[in-house]
Amino acid sequence: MEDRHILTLLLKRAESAIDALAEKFGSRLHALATNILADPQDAEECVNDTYLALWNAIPPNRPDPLSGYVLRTGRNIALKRLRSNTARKRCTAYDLSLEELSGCIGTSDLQNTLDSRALGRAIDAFLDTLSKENRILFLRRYWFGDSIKTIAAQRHLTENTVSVRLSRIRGRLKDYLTQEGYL
Amino acid sequence: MSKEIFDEALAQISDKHITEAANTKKRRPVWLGAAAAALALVILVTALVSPSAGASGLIAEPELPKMAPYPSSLLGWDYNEKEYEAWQNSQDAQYDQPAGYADSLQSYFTESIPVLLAANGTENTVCSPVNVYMALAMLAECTDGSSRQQILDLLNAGSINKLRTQAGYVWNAHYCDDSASTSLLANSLWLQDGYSYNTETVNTLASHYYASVYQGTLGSDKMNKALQSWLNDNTGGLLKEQASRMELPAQTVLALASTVYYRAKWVDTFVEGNTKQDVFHSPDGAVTCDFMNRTLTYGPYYYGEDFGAVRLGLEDGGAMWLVLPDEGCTPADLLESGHAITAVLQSRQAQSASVKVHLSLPKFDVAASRELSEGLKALGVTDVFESADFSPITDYPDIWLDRVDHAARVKIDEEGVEAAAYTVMAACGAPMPPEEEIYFTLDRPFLFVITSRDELPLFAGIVNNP
Repeated sequence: MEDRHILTLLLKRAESAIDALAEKFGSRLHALATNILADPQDAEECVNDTYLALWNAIPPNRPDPLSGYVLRTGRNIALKRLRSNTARKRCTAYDLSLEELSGCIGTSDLQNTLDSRALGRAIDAFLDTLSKENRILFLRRYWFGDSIKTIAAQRHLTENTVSVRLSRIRGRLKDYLTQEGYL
Repeated sequence: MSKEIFDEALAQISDKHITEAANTKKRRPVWLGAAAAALALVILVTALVSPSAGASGLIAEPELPKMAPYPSSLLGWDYNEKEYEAWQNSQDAQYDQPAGYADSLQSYFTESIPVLLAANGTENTVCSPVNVYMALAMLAECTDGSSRQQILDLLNAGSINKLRTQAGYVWNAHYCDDSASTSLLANSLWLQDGYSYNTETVNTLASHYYASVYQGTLGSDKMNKALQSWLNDNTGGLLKEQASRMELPAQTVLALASTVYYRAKWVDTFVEGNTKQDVFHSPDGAVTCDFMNRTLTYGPYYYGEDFGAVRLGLEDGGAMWLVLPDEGCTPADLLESGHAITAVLQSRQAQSASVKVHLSLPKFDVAASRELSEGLKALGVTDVFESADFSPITDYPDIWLDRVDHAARVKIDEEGVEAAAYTVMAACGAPMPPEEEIYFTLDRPFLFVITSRDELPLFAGIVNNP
């Protein structure tokens, strides 16, 4: 079903919208939540919470594109759950990817005045400078938390190629942040 | 500390980048849905009196909707906004039918599917309720008096004008030719040389039903070949065998033909490497066939007193519902109770659960052909076979409906996107909710229904032997 049809169902308060969301985004949300939480039970609850959150948010919201909104909602809910689960000290795929990113740049280098929002906008602008393929590699690794192996399978690349390209992208990000005065 | 900053920073990334990365499909060939197809046809023949010679061939052709092609850029990396806009506008224009335009057809579908499937034997059976609807609507245009009224009653239409408007909506809602998905409905009217026909009715069929009009010596080799060729052209060649046997009797005064050809990809294709040979328990004994396997992480799994069902989405917004009767129950039992058909047509009210479903579905290619006269009589359409009134189309006094031939074929594989749905309306007592995890193995006779994006049953069938 197309996104606009799902949006229409949500706006009409048709319960079939939840089925449609599950059919269209269920597997992607589940993969995203699993990457972040590393626990099947947590991930499943997170996905169900996402459906409920979307049901409550639309209307009044009319997100376009829907897919970005759905995935962002799922990610936020998963991160919230992850933060509340810190006592478990579980190291998830998402944690590893984040370590990879932050470790490369080093926050000690970041200007003290820089907040996360400004850094986010800078990274978003940096993504516009990348080729589509590189942009997708970056997002899959650091936003979706996919493993190198998963990305390699998705992109029909070798794991080594993915690792090398991500390393270069991180290097370019560091250069970009330096050039723009963030580092 | 550093991780937290990046954690929050990444939340600022814009939707356009997330959406781009979320759709990670690699380049695919343009043929898209070639693996899955289904089609059906109906022929209605009126007969009597000797024919006369004359010119033959196509005399009028409808103007079909022009649809913008599915943007090739969506299949690759170079997204082209203009291509997409053109395609989207074309889709919006084609599918602007008012909400609920087909609600009144629920009773027709509920009543007719069990009759059209006639699930008495151990053979596979398939029908296309939408295809029969379209043929009956054209027949109603050609008839009057009780002949027409019985058809209107079956189709739950208040008047011929309402039926005409609705048939137009149904035709357009199920027409798609954008190179990614294919759903084509076609109609034709075949006229015998030497008879006079009411031009107004012929024009109505051409303009409201998009019917091509042919005239010639019906029953001759030439016209039989023309008819067979028309059928093959409009069914993608899938019913060649059945069409080759289609010959009109020499006494034919006029014939109506209606076809539907449908092809779509699964929203989530089956992985070919997961297809394994296994045993299917057909009524005639065990047979070995290829089973496609997939896990539906969140179902949904639909269930009722005596069956379970899943819905597999198709890329054009349609779906295939797979309905497995519980052990000890047959597809014919489900059809007889009527609960399953009602459930399919009112799926939003179905009982469902979001559980993990391990689906095992045999690949199948099922075809069936039937003469439907007795079935239509059982549904209350009787007069057109006996004391018929064909005055809207011809003044000739003594003609009747001689035959109604219906053939259909449905095939699925790993790529093919077809979906069938049944929902249970539990009449008494609540069924047990399903377990957390379901193994949905279709290794015994089951029902399927392919529904369109508007949830009308394009095809229904019973697989007794894949």
